[in-house]
Amino acid sequence: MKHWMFSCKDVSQKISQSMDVQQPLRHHMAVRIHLMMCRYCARFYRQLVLLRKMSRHTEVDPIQTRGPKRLSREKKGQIKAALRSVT
Amino acid sequence: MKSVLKLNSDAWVDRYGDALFHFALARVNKREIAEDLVQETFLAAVQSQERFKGQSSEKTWLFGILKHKVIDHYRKNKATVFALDLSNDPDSLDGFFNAKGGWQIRPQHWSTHPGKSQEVKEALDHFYQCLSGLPQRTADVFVYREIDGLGTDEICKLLGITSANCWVILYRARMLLRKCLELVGLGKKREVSTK
Repeated sequence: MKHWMFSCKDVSQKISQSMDVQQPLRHHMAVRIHLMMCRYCARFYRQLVLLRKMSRHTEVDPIQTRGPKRLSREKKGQIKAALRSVT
Repeated sequence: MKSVLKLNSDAWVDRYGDALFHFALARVNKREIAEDLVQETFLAAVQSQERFKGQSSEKTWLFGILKHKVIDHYRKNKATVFALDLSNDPDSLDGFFNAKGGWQIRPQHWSTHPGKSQEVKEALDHFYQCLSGLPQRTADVFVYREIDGLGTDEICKLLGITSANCWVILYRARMLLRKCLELVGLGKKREVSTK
């Protein structure tokens, strides 16, 4: 599938690159137009956004883990002792 | 480089220990392993505190270190996790597109429901397992960029590579992670172009 001036392969590379560095306006516009017309590249874009969200995800829902969700007092003591020994 | 941290290791453990443990436990599902990963995280943080520049919060920085530890753990225990060997497939990007540059294997619709915590957990489990299956160098660049939030300039200096090389590696990492996540079932059915 070809839309505008870039192929899907070109667009996938430019979408990836746009997540790391600002793209020239001309390329940005061409990619936007391509995305409006190509559902698969639009899906690809959403997937990369989701990969970034998963990478930066730090919250854990309480029901995702079973059993006590806190470090035991004993383990905290061990970690503190280990840290004191290297500082 | 001068660290902006004023180290009080006891306070660190009290303040962040439970949150880190909770995150680790959700990833590895074994209490003892999660505890060890948290301890290793704090030790690594103490040893690398000079590199903390205050661009992110202490919490974000510690979580970044923990994520490296989780990936290392998966790497060391590949037999027990999803074994998609992404490292021995140097030409694997070629199959994504046809000769005209159109999608050969079309990206799938990923069914993710942020409100459903079990689905989020499964997606994150797959994500870390897939990440640990990437070739080491590719995974390193991706982790520096996406988990640690470093800019490509910093990554280039750190690894001694060019910007162009960095972008190629990041593209490759993203394509392979997508492929892996779709293979383990994050997406719906696979659509292959017949054109």
